Amino acid sequence: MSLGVSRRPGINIGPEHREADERAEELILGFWVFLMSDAIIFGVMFATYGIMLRSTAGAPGPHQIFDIRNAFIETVALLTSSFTYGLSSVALK
Amino acid sequence: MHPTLDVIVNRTIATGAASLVIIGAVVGVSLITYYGGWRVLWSEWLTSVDHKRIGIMYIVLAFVMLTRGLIEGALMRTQQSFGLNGGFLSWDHFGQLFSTHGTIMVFFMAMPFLTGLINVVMPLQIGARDVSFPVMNSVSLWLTAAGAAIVMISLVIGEFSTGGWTGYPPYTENQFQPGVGPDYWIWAVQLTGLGAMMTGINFAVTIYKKRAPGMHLFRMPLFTWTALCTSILMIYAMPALTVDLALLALDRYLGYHFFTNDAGGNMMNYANIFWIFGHPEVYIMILPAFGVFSEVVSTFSGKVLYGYTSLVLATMSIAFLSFTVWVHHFFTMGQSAPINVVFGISTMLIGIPTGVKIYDWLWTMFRGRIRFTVPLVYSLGFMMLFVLGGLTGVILANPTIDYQAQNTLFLVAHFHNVLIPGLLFGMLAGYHYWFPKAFGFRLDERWGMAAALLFTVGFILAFFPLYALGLLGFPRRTLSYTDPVYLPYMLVAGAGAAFILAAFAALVIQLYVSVLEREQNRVPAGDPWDGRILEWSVSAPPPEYNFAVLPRVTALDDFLVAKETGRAYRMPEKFEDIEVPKNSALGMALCVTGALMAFALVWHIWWLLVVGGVGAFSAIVGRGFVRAATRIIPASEVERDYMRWLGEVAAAQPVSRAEETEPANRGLAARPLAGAAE
Repeated sequence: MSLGVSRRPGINIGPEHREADERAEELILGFWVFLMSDAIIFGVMFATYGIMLRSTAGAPGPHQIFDIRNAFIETVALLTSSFTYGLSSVALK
Repeated sequence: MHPTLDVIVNRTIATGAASLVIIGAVVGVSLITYYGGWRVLWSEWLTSVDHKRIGIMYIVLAFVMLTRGLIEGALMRTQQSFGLNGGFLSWDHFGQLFSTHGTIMVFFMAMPFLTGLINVVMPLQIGARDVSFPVMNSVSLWLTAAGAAIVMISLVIGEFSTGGWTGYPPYTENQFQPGVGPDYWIWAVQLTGLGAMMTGINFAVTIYKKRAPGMHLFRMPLFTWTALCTSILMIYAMPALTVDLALLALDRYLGYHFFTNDAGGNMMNYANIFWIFGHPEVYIMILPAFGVFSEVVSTFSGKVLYGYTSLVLATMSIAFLSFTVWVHHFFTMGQSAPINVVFGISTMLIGIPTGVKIYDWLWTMFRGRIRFTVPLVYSLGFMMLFVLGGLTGVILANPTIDYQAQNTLFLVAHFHNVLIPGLLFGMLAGYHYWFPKAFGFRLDERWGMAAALLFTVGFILAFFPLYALGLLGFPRRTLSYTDPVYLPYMLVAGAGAAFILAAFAALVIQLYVSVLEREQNRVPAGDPWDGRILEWSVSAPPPEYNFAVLPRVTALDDFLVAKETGRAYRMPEKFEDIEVPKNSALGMALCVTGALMAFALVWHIWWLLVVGGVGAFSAIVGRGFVRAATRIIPASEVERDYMRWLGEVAAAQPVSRAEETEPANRGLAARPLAGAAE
């Protein structure tokens, strides 16, 4: 029910397009809630990974298989990209 | 080799059950064809995205599955009544029975019932025209239906899991159950779990974003509060189940070792993740029932709900605490004693907010003008029996006692004692209470009363002996026994099952009688019980758009205030065009393709899996291209409907509460005498 103009997450197309704005608000909240639900999925999978890290039954572990260094660089690059994108969209508002 | 008598009996029962499914389907299809109902069924129901119709279909699904679940329960009681030195069922048949019974009752009876009830009622209670995502609502329904269909198919083709409704590995791994049974279980539950998660998102966003002007959070009816807490639990609990089932499927299909006995697998992690979902699930099931009782007790006592704020806080506390107790489902799994103590204490804490609720309902009734209608009888049965179920829960929450009583019928008695008087009585009370709102006519009181009393007596007879049996050391899920000391208790429990079946028959007869006599029980004015909340302020059944003009809420029991101050049944200043969503076949498309994919996975038919997957994907992408997703109901049509309803209100004679269950009740309530308790 909040009628604030630019203080909430979302695209904030303002009072001129109030109806479209409110409709988008519902969609965006729904999407955030879905992401929260998704976060639980990943949380449970990460926890399972953590528990099973050493349960390899003698097979090679992650250190022998994964090239962590490249993956780490790629992840940092991706996250930086998302972060700067976020900053720019905040600045746009 | 000649078949033994045992084999003949088991085969006959299994074939009979499978034939019933097929005959039921054939009879259903022929009847619809005979009456030429396919077009109506398709355009008015199957593709409908109206929250009221989706809710009704959810409840129909729940009743269909309840029929099967009840028969299975009664069959198991019969087996154990004859179980001294044998009985008539094979261990494998018995294992499938308790697995399908639990799976059906939790995922395909309880969940659809409560989701359906929330769907019908919640948007009306908050003054909304529909839920936030109507098409997604339809998809949720049809994914649940697809899961139910997979369970029904398992009765005809192949077999079901014998691993119980929790499906614990390693017993559900390939090593012990190489057949299709656990696969049927995994994919049926996976489908409905997905539906439940989307339902949770939908309801939560609806409650946060679509409330009528003036309906701030602490003016929401208690049922809506419980719906909100249930939705939040669904959002956070269902994903754990999704992951757990996916990992088990990886074990079974691709030879992983998440939960196997060997090669580094850890089956205890399955139990751990399962109950991170499973315990909130318990409260997903019970909270909406608490909401129903809050509405029913207040309405039929003619009083404002006592302690509204404390009830809201208690609901939220229960929702929060439900995530902190899951370890009590496996006290004996080998974790350290201090951990068990922590979870034992947190479990006992839940008794506090629940106790608050019981006292609030009692105080609501205190000095009220109580009418002993069917929903109130269910509520009274609930209050007395649920306290006992809660008490045995607190007993089991003590790890040292749990070590003795775990895995016995004491536990079975405990959870049936909270689920039947809690969930089932709540849902049936809600069904009886809101039926006139959804369909426009009241249900028969006499058969309803018979059903309520039979359910209560049947429950007591069927499950109280199980406490004694459990304390005598009788393990759960046991086919037969050799010690005659168990026999008398088993016979009483078997008689109880007969009472419960009779109660269900009374429910069916009640529906039949009510439909026959619908003309004299119509309540077109829409307020048969002198209701207090917005859902009673519109016609019965409500128009597709619910409210001709969105209400402005000024108080907690807004409709009651409106009736007192004379602003109910007024002509609004002007009508406006209303935009409603168009029907969508997406739900049906995902139902068919989802069921196909699940069936393909169960039987390893890879081409069918691809067909189903491509079909589902195309349906979702195709939906994205639908541009005209809504249609406009012109203001003139809204006005015409509204005028007709006002005419019905004017024609109705206001009835006092004494005539509530008489044909005179056309849904318009006379104001009580001045000075009466409100």
